[in-house]
Amino acid sequence: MEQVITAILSASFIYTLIRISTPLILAAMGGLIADQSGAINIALEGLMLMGAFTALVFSGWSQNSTIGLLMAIVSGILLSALLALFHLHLKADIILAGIAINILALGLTSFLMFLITGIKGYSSGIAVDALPNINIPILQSAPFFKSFSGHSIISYLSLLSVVGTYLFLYKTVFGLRLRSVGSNPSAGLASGISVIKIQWLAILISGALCGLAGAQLSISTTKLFVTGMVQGRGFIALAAVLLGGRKPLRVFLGALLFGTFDALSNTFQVLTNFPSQFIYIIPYVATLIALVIYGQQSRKARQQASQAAEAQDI
Amino acid sequence: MLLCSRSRDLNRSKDWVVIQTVEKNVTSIRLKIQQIIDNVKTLPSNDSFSVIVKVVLAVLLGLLIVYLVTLVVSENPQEAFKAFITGPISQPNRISDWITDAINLTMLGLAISIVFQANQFSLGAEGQLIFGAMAAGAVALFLPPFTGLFIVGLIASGVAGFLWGVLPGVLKAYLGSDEIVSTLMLNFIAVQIYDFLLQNFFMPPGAGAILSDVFPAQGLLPVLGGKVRTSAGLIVAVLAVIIVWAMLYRTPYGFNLRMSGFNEKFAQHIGLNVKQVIWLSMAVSGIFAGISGGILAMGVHTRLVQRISGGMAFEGIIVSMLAQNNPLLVPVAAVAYSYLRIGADVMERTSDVSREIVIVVQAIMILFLTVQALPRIRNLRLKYAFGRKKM
Repeated sequence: MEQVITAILSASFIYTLIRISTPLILAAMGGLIADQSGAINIALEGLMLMGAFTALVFSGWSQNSTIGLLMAIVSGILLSALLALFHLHLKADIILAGIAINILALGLTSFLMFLITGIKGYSSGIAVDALPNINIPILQSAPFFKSFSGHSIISYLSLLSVVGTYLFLYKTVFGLRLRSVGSNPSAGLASGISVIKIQWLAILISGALCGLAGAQLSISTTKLFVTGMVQGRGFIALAAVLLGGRKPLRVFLGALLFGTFDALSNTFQVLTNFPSQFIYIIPYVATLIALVIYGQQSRKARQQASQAAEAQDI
Repeated sequence: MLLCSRSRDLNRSKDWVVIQTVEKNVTSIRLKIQQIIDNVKTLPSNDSFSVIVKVVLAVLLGLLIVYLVTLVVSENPQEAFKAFITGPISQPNRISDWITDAINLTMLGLAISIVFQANQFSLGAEGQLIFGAMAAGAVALFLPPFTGLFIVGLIASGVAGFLWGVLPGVLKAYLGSDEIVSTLMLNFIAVQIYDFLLQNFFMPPGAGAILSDVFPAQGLLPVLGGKVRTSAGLIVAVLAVIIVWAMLYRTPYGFNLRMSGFNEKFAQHIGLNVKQVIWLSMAVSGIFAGISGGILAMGVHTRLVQRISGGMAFEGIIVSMLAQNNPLLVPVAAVAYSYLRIGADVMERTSDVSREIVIVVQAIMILFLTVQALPRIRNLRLKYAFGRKKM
């Protein structure tokens, strides 16, 4: 147990934490933007999977990780465009369409992976140009802050995405419109805002961020693609959005919390002989608890709102 | 004096008018309620013609996609596509595979159709199936063998599925947690618990692979048929279809369930216990997903294996959607859809096209079936037949 505690307090734990949280943060920001526009994006999972696959294939094909990274973003955008097309123009239910996108990503990636490698399950034989780790000289020499140095560019982008999402949602006209469309579409429509245009953009942004998150999984954290390798991270990101009450900073903290559980389960697995299965389920149980907490919060908020409305009537 | 009485008369007549309008409103509301109840009774009442067209188009679209993909991917596309189309009926054992697969898809489709009719979204069939398989395994391996042990196993798997469905149901109904995320999280948890129990309790000591012992003969589903054979799961599935249909359309509980699925607020206002409907719908759905796990363990694998569901549980969604959530149509959809699945299996074994193509087809079919805007086909037909008046 002492070993575990020292491991958790060490700088390398922070390093792992940042690396593990990166895809969660990016996907959560994507989910947040889509959610704020009123289009709940269930497909985060599939979008990440597609991003991971594309990043690996293009990075292996061109031996250039930057191309892999860009193609991951493009693939995320394309797949989310499919979701937007079906939801916004063909009026498909967004939840079922999202599930379909998840299934599509799972089927398409494993089908294409078999086509490319001839082997099922993982990307054997594809030599990948991994994303380089970026060292920040000032931080590197400091004792504690050195764990913030030496991450992939996606990790730094994920931190930037939190600030970016905040500025975008709360400091730009477009963000204001996006939030107003999400909270009351008909009011938005009445004031001359094109609801469909805004939701299109929100879904595309979430697709791009998820593509980036997927790239972190396949060409930075690992150098291979495994069927279904996202393992529910998209849904955990969605839970982080709910847990954070749809506010950028809190959603970021929520994603970090889930990242911490994930990192903890790794540490426990290495240092103790506690059954690994029980450590794996920690993030999922934590998500369940978070859902309950969020459900209670939103229920209370609704009650307060209805009480306030009654008070106004009187 | 005259003025006074006249005004009193006026007042009285005003009251009269008020009373009359109130009565009129009450009768009209009553009529509306009756209308809504009638609507619910005849659910699914959406335009059946365009529904049939949509389903047929979805299946044709699926076939077309497989054909196009084999054209692009395969070196011998004609052979591959032929294997896909005729594969399931080419050999007796493949027909057996087809029937067995259809049985499980029927159970899973029934499970999903119950939650969908209550207008809920449970994706928890996977976890329920896994727990059902585990319960069946525990009964078959740890109880002393006696005739009819498999029946106890099936019941146990249903109970296990029920309990694993109660959890997200209660979380949704009483604690307001989103059921889509919660059921998915519970799936991941179920997979890990299953792995843990399999490795620590079911696996015989010193075994090389992560498998349990083969169940004793009494713990296996009886085999039906000769050359083309299947398990007693067939009887279970037929019974299940009848039970679900009777429950949804012939019991007060089913009425409440469909009513709250149809219009939750209305159901609340006429005094139905909507919360109970929500959690029960998820739990009852778990019974059928759980039994499907029992059939997989006791009829197909004859032991507990890792990843016993093989991702099959999500197929229940497409089956239920193809059947328009109608329990009587679920077996039809299951037979049709499992034909595609087994066809893809045969194609993978006999050609160079991988079976994952069927997952892609499934996704595209779901997308196509959820589309609301496109096929107002009947309206279109009328429009072209009679001009714009009949719109």
